[in-house]
Amino acid sequence: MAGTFTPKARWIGPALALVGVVAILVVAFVLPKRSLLDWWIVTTVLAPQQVLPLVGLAIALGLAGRGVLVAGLAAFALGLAAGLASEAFLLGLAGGLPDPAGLVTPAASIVVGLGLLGPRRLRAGLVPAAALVAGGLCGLFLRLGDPSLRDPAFPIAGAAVVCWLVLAVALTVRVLRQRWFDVAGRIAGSWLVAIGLMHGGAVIAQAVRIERMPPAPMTPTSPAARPPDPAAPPGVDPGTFFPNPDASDPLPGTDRPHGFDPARQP
Amino acid sequence: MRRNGRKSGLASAGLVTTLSGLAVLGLSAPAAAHIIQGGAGGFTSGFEHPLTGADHFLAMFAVGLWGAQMGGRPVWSLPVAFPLIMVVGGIMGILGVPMIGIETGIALSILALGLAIAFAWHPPEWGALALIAIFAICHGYAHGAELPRAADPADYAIGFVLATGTIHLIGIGVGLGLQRIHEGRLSRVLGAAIALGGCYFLVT
Repeated sequence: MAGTFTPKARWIGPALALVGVVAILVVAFVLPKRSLLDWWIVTTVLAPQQVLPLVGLAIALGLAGRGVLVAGLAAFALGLAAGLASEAFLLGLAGGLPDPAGLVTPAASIVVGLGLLGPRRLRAGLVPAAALVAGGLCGLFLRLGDPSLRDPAFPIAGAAVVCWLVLAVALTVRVLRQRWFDVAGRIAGSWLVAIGLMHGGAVIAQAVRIERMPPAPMTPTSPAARPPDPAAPPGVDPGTFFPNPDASDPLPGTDRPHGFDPARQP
Repeated sequence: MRRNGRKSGLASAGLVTTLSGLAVLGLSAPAAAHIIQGGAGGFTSGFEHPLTGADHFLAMFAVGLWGAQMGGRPVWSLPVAFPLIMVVGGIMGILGVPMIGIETGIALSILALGLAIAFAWHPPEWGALALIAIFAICHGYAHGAELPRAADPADYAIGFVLATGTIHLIGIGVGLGLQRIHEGRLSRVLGAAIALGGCYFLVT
């Protein structure tokens, strides 16, 4: 199958992988100052629970035929775009599941693992379907983990990183492919399903436990338990009454001191 | 050729000695399915759990060794099935379903798998899968019981499944290597040593 590439083109995958790994190492360990986007990529986009299903998917694509590889990559890109664009819709599909956001990566692991474990004759259909679902879940994960409040640079950078990961690993597996890779792929598939089920089970158990926890006891700081405030006007809930700071401020406007500001110090 | 054979025989004898030594060292650890009573950590904690407990290590190593000894499909079907069935026990542990005799089950798994290897028992594939299924539930329960308390359940699950799979692969590698020497007798000796380990865990 690797014979479909010219000798030089065969090494695109490993080269892509090497360049990406070096770039990540530079961002993680060499750069003296990292932006929020750098941190997000290193800690969230490349988190183990997010990377493992993507690597599994890339292995499945690398072991498949050329047509399935192309269809799988296209399905992954389509799913990724759908996941990034329709966060609310996809979370709504989770229905009454406890902590649906926490179940995104376990679900991706299970879907990809089943794609790897499936019988060989069904893989032509299974792998692109798994790629579509995994892409959607990956897009959703990127949206849910975005700390920027809708800065478009974050989803674009995240999508670029995950596409690089899938493409680099799939093309590398394709070049280095050996006969025993099929068995190794199945073993990896069973690991992914096991990881997904255990992780998902733990997330659900934790969410159910939190839901069943008794409400916190009333403390003097809670509004209902607080003694009535004599300064509160009649008819106003003393727990919600706070004086308007601007109304009682003798220096309204820009001249009002805002605490210690290093920029304003001489 | 003959010299090569002698060399590989010496190498395998060294390997068996090393593995036996490791097994004996493992026996000096506390003999219990080491269900962590406090909170578990993340990846390192999950990865260390099967590796640092001789009970889990021996059972998972034996699964790989037995599969390699049987040859054919069981070489990969046993290590593929083990984590999948382990999940059933794991989820029971996560949900806190009461189960008795987990530690005895783990000790019995070592004994039974060791004996199967020692006697070169080659049951039908479904029989082998059914046997390891029972034991995989015990091992999974021990892992799952501590998973919800883990600081990072995702990393913990990833760590212990990777460690479990790695031990299976080591077992397969050792098994396939030993099968070529003395018609697999060394595998059987190793199986007997594993069964002895199972006896030790059973009585302590």
